[in-house]
Amino acid sequence: MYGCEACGAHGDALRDVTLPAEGVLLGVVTIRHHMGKALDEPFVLARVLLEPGLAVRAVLTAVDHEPPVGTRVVGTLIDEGGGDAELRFRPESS
Amino acid sequence: MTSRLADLRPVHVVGIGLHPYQRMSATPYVTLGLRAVREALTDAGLEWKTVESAYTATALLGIAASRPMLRHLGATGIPMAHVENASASGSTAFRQAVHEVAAGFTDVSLAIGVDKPGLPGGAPGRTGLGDLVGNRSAPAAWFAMQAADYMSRTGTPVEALGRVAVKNSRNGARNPYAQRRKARTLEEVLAPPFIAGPFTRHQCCPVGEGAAAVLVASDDGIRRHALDRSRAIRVLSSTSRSETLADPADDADTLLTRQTVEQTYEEASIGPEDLDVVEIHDAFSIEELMYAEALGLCAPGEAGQAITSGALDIGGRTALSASGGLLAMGHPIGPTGLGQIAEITRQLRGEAESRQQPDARIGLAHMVGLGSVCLIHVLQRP
Repeated sequence: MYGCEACGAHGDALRDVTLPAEGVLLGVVTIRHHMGKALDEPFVLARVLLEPGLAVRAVLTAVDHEPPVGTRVVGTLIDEGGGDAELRFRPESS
Repeated sequence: MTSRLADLRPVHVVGIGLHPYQRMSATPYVTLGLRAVREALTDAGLEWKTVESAYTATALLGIAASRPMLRHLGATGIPMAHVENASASGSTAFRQAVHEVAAGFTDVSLAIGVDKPGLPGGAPGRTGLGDLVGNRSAPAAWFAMQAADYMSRTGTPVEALGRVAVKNSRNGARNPYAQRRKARTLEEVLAPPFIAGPFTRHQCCPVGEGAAAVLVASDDGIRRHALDRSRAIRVLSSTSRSETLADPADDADTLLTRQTVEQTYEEASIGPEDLDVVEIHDAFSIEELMYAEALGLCAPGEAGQAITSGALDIGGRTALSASGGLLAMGHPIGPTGLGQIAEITRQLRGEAESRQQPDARIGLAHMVGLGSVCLIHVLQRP
């Protein structure tokens, strides 16, 4: 059903790829006021450049301030009790 | 073979009308929309029965908004359709109406934008493809991230972001249709609370309710209905693009505007130096800087300085967001792009009163919509 954004290939032409949950920060922002309900503010969002050159948006955890762009981050599974663990990122050094 | 707008019949804006943008209220959307349409009809000197088609721009109302509103003007049986293109819904409805007249299907068409906020998020969150941020995502977050990158890359101070909101609040204070009508100082604009990153409340647009209507007509329509040709404003170009794949390190939003405006300038046979008034998608303060540069109004990294110098004020070389922009006039979504066309038309007619850009001849309206899409229109006075 879903297709490739670069060339439009779909179906059997696509294959699953496992991406490493590690990369570097392209951007980071602290959200202090959000329209969404049931969110603990503030929280930190980031754009993470994964090793194959793909950027993803993610929640940054285990930080008490915004780390600089270029900081190496790794994925970590967080289960806040809802049953489904969520993939977030944290600085590699934390 | 394909055609550009310039290859088809000339199209003119002949009527504009608005319901002031305002905070969410109990006012029915029908009341908002009808006020705007009736004002546009009066402005044009047209009767409703002369309008041959209608496009309703709305992103938040849901299905079947057109006829329950427009029937109150008389059920004339004209074709009606909805246009939804996120923040660019109004711009897209305008483009549809312009194309219909240009192609010769109608001589007089209406584009009406009307919206009320408060409904839950749209289709991008329901594609079936998950992401890692869920409902934490918001436009303010990503533009705040771009603001941080822009300031770091260009050495632009946070005060330059604030001055965008100061300028636009000053313009909005002179616009009777604006949602925010109070001029703010830099200290007020920069004062907490913060929303996302460096953005304070006054650096984020208010999303309220309102309506904006634009009537477009052909030369035949102007002649047949004996309209005032001296107040008819020519639509020189209509360009629209969607986002392409960009390098992850690049700013996809700026790239999209740059690609679209290249097409615009070619189609309208103008350059940025020809623009007297520009309405821009300044939902967040950083966007005015990013897009002013992408449109070529100033060199990369110099938009903050241009704002500070007054070059982009009313009375400067180009009046940028003379209406107050999204930051002060407001961003009710469906009407916003049409409100821009109304402002440009008013400016080019010389009817903008206390916020008039002297001797305005050519104006440009720029909108982006979630997804992302970009629409740009250029208008010229006779």
